[in-house]
Amino acid sequence: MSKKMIVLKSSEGVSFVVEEAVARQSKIISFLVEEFPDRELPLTNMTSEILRKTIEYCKKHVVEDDGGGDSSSSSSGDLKEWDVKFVAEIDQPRLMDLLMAANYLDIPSLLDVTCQKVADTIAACNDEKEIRATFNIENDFTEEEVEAIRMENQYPI
Amino acid sequence: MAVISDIPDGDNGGAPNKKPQEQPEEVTSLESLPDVLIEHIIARVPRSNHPEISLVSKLFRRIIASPELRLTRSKLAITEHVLYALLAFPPHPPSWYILNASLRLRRVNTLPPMPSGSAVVTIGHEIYVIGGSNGSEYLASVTVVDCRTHTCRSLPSMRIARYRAAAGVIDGKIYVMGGYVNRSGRFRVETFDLERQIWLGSQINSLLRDIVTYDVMKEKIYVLGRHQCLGVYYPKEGTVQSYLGRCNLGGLWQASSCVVDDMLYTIDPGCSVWTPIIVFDPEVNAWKPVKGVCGLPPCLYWYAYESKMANVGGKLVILSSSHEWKPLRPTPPTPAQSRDKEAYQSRDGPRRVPYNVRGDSHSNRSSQHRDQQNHRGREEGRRSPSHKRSSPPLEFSSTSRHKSQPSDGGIPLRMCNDIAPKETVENAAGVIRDTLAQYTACADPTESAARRDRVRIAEAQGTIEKNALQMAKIAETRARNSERRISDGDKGSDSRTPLSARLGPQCLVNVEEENCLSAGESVQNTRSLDRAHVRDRLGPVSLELDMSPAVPRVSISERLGPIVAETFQDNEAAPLERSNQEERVPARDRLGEGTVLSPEAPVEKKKRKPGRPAGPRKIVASPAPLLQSGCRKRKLLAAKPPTGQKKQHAEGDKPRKTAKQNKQKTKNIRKGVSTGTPSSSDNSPIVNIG
Repeated sequence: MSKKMIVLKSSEGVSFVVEEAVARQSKIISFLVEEFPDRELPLTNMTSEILRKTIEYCKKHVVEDDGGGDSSSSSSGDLKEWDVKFVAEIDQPRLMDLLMAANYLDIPSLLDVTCQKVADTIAACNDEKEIRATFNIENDFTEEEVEAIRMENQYPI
Repeated sequence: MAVISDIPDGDNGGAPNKKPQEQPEEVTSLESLPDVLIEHIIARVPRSNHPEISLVSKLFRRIIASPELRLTRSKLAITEHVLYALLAFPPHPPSWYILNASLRLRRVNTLPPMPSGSAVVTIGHEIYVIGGSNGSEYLASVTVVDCRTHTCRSLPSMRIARYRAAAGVIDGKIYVMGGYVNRSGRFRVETFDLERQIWLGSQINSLLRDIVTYDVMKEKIYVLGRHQCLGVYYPKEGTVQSYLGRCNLGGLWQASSCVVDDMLYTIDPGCSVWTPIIVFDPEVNAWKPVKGVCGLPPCLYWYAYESKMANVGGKLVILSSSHEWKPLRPTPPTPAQSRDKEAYQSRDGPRRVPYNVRGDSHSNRSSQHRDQQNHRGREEGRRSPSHKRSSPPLEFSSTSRHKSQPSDGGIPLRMCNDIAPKETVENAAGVIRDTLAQYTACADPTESAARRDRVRIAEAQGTIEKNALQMAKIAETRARNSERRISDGDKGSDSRTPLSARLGPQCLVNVEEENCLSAGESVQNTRSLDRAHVRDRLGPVSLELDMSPAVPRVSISERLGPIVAETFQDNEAAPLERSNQEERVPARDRLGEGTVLSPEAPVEKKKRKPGRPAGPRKIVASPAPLLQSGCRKRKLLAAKPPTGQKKQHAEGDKPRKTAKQNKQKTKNIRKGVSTGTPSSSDNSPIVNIG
């Protein structure tokens, strides 16, 4: 086990020790590791829960370059299934946080997965009210504006 | 980024950032995300949901309207399957509709109305609307709809204006064939090269005229015509194969069909192969049941022939009329209803989309790649189950059923003929069919095959239908005229009319055939003048019709003439050259029994040539033997002149002459007889004696 380990620290001060290869999926961490080797990297805008989830995702998606027969070397089909399951288990607020984390840490694949999940949630809503309720969005339209937009989208004849 | 650069300095130095940013609120608002992220999210939402999203808030509306969203979508290579439907609610022209995730059809307001009866193909995110009719004429124009931007652009026009053609995309080329074309249009397959953006003609004759539906399977274009006619176009070989109601595929194929994974799915409410949804596998050339589809709503059976199938991302979608449709204003089903219906979706089974579409509306089918769509003709292919079963080898369609359709998107059909009643047209078709049956029944197998081929071409071009219609029209007019004549007490000319009525259209079939077979013959012959004369005599009939017959008839006389002439020459040459026989065949066919007689005619002529001229010989011939006979006979002859006078009088009846003139004439004749002819010297004494 000559793998280099990296310590990530959440906003609550909880340390997570991960393999470098796992952590390097984040472009930010990858950059920081090169700039500041052998240092603990505090991720101050991330709760332990979200960080744990992120690391879980990264562990699953790590690309093994030293040929280890890890559980992470799964087929892409399995990975996709795993992703779906992964985001399905996360509730709405956590999902938003995870999305923010993915964006912050710059992990494109995680960002994709989370964005898609949010998009699916939106698509599953029947109307704009449901979308507002689900995502805690305030309606800043006036009645007239709503009517005007409705007219644009309306059925003909 | 600034935050991170601070991190190495102090372990928990980011404390001020911590609380405002990430300390959990109850629910994080989506709007608290950076706009870029929201854009990324919305880009992943199917476009069909965008109208709802634009109503959520101003921020969302701004993002939806922004051009960046489109860029993001294409950058993310987001593809989705969207069902575009071309629907017409007469009298409005067809427009594009989108089926959204909540199974509602929404009109795409930014797209202009489309021509009716156009052929539609999809390539990627583009829909190609080919030809059609604008209500007054057929179109050769091609419009491309970009589904990403919902904008239109025009392609170069086709060479031929087509209405309800068939089209298919194979290997970067759009193939267009069949359909109704203008009289002047030539009936060929056309190809659009997408790379070079040009139309290419071909020498391949198109398939059917009356096209019900078409699909592409395994790089072949299958075209279903009316009466289960089937045409298969092989683009690689550049060949066309036609089947007239004798193939497996044509037997059950409906207008409501679509191709998923190179297999053709269609609906069969009769459940001939046990299930209502059936699939045709071109590999084994047979229909198979699609198992696992059960609980389809009853209206899908009732309106099976009016439904439309579509392949939306590998899923089979059936758009169907529902029995509670309302005439003019389509009411989309409630979301709850839609949800219920969605439950019908099975693994590879259909998802039924209820939508209150008028029965005669345009509908569509689906997508194969992104934002892709396809359009379908209309329910013109609707066939009654009983009709479906019968598959005679040659069935001549009476266009009347077609005509009985209310209208084509509110636009009257061009080929429409309202004056010919259905029975008359069918009778006429029957007459043509009989004639053609006789025509094809030929002892020589190759000859027979050639004739059948010609008949098939005529059928494919709709000549037979056209002729049936014309015959019906003529018959109608004749009936009306004869009634009038009878009432006028003039029946004399009545006998001539039916001749023209029958000859005209039948000749037309031949002319069309000839067109296909040997174009460019231009032999001048006096016979064509004879024909023209006939036509002139028949002229009034055509005038009474004040319709097309007059025009084709001229062409018959012009075209048939040369053919007849050709035959004549052939017959003279026949004993000498047998090698030309093949070329001769078509001409002889057309002449029928006439040809059998004609070889003898020249022979007779040749025999006569050395002999005396026919005219004088006949006159002299009868007295000559008498002259050599005995006196008694001379006496008899002597008695004849008076009768001869009488005869002449009878013949020359017209100018009534006075008794004097008669006497003079008689004398003259006597003198003439006694002196004029060489044999008169013998006769003269007898006359004098008498």
